[in-house]
Amino acid sequence: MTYDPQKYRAKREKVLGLKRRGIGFGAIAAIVSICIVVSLAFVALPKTVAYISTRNLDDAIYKLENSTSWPNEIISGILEIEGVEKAMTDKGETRLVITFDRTEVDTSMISSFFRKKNVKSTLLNRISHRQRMKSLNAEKEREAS
Amino acid sequence: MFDHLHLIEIKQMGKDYISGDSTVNAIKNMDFFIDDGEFVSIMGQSGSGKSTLLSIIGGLNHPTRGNIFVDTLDLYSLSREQRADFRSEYIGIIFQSFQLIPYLTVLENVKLPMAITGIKNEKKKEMAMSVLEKVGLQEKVDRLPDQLSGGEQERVAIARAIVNNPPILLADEPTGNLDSQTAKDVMDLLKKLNAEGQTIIMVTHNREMEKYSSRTIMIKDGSCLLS
Repeated sequence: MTYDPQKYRAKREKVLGLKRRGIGFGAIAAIVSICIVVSLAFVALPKTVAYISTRNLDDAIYKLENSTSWPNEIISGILEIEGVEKAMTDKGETRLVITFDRTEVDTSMISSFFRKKNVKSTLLNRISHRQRMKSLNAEKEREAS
Repeated sequence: MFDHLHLIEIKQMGKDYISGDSTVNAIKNMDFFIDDGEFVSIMGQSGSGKSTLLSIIGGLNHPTRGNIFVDTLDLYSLSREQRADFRSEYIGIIFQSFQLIPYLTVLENVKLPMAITGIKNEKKKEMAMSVLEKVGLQEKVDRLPDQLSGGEQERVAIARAIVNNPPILLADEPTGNLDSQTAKDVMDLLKKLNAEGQTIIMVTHNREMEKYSSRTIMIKDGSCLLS
């Protein structure tokens, strides 16, 4: 019988290691590692992003001295200051909570803005934005239970 | 010289053994080939180098010089692991003394070469049953080797040798321990396997067995006389 090199090609490739037999240990280790990294990323990534995006934020809480509600043009004016992220009144509309980046703005700049606009206000508190959000959430949970 | 036109090519191959201070040339320079589907007898006196040659072709014994190509693979330039894979894929061996495991049944003995192949258990059983049917032992699969006759044990050894579907079957004096009628039956079985396309290389010193092969390679004092 004549010899045909193609006849035993599969065996030859197996011997030479060209044909993989099943999935190797390296591949299994890589797949398991990727799964662990991806699942950790799913858990850790949102927290990390939230931490990074809020790490420089502070909240300043102002109260109007004459007890009327905050004028809209003051609120929109505050938002135009570079570094101010958010400005919103609380339920009673007497207090204004301003969220700002402490590396860009300071409460003295905000107070000076109010003075310029003849708005008599008092800085009640300055607190880390994250800490305030934590307290608000805890409060909501207490109310719910 | 042959440039891989044959399943097995032996080129300028020699094997020396060191015995004390002297070197024994077990095989002097040999050059021959074996084609796919051939039934080759290797004949010669005891100590002529027949079994050494068989073990070298089977990837079990490193030659001192020369090359052995099997299916274009340069056998002794392969790594140890590749050569182990080569033996598993290409070679089935039938020994004169059967070499069956006495505490395993016929079926378990035949399944043994598949132990490290990664084939599923059901498939292993199916393959073992198929070769046992081929050698006519399908009714005795649950027996232990010592509950079988010599001829039946030899047939189990043949079934075990061919279960992995190796292209090359090496038989070292396969009928050496059998009476003439049983030896004939075993040779008829080998002839049948060869007719189905199995390449068989048989070492024998029995001239009666030569007639079953398509070609004879005579060895004398480690040299090829006729091939």
